[in-house]
Amino acid sequence: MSAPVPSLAEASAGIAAGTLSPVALTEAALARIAALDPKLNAFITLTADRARRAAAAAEAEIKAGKKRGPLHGIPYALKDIYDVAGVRTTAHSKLLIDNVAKEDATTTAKLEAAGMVLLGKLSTHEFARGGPTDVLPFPNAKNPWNTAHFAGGSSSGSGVAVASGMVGLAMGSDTGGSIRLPATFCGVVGMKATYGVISRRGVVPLSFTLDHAGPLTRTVEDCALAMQVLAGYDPGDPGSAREAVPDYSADLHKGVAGLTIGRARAYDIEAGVDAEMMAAVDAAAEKWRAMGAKVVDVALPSKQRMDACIQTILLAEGFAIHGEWLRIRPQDYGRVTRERLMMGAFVTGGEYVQAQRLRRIITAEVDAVLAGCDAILCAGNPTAAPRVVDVDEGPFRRSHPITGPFNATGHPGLALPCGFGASGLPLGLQLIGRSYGEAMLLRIAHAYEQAAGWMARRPDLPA
Amino acid sequence: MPEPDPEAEFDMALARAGIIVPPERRAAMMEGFRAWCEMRELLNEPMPLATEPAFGLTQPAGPRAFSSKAESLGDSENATKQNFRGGSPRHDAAGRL
Repeated sequence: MSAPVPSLAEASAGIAAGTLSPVALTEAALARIAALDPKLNAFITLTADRARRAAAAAEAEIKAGKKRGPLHGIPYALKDIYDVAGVRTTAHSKLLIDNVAKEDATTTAKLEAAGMVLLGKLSTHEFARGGPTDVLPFPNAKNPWNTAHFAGGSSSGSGVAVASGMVGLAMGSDTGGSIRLPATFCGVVGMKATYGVISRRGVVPLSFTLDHAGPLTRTVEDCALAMQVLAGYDPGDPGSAREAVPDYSADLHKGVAGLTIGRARAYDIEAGVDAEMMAAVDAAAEKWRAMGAKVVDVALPSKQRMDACIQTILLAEGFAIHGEWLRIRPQDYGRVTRERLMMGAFVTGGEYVQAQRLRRIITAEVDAVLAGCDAILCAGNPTAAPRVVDVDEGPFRRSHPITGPFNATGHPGLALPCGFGASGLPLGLQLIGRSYGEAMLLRIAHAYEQAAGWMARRPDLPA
Repeated sequence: MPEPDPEAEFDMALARAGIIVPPERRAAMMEGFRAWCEMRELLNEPMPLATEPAFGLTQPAGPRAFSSKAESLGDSENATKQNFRGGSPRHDAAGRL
């Protein structure tokens, strides 16, 4: 038998009170993984021995009075695009099957310095670009709410691991929605911070302009705890932001009275959000209104226009990174990944520059919207998780993620659960904030999460 | 203006990039290419000539003679800040571009 691991906050309180040991917590996590992962495929590489050693060391340090911080002794896992010294980083690809990192990614180093315990490397869409049906060296991660449905990607293993109670913190990456979509489909919290807030050094890139690192957690409070460790300037990342790191938990409990939420309903309609998801997001807006926030309609730039901007950049930069392998080893990619990356061959230099100019314009337009509200509210996806067989695995999707435009603008985006559909699958919303406004997003999200209580519901898993 | 020839453009772009699409996948890639051609039209919106792309390389400050230690410390701090600014347009603390 196994039980879901506690949240980061619960684990932290237990360790601080002496009622929970890092060793016991790590064993519980490993037992949960052993019970569920054969079916859910969240992990590519399990570092069980390392985890046990780290947990024992953390326990000894804590007992000796050398507590490093609130997350000391608590397990975490990394999307298998984050480097860990001495451990392979495969990006879920044959091309990197034997790639062993020489040094930790900055994120890894920060989590290790905080005393966290690495459980292993998580399944991802190949190079954060492919899809859930590609035949890859390792099996694809499955949605714990219904394994026939899409777990979301590309941080699929990260969403699955947190939702199924294997781990309290899983790192993901987000280039067009790859943290927020698995968060929505798996019913957990996912933060794509402002571009540059969390270092990309030591993370396999897909698009230099659009890549964001970020955490997936069970609760908003856990997200705030994780952000406190993760955020900060890194001279090793050319896009890193020189911004002071605030206390992400300080305002968490302040509520939303007097704040303004901008409901981007027209954006959701343009994105094709279905009636069920729309009703859930609208109900969330009403909940904020009932708690004292003002909810106003806001008009975002046209999604089609923003899609043109982000897709051009994604295609061009992904191709720049992968062009050589696409020429000499195309057969070693999964079909979906290969074709999506190949599409970059069609983008001219002029088109790429034009997309970057458009990016400056639409970023200013979104800034103008955010001048009138504390956060923008929209759906986390047009629908609940589709069946895997229905996922569009074409070279250039017929519709593009509702999350994508905010990778181009760099604004922070937080996905969190807002209900369940008729199918029993999670529904999720997205909050977009001002640049470096993660603390405000967390405050707004926490108020809703506590009032709505969706995080109390877990997938029904035989363990 | 010459009539667009999607098939010719498709083949030329792939040839230039050195990419080979297997024959059995040509139709699917062509469909993706046509969808991309539709989308890229949206990039042509009118914009002021001076609209810069959302990235920029600024040169780091070169070595120079300093009249005082205080001035040299200030300049070396500026040199650290001036670097390749990839990624998002940089916002100030008030959230302005």
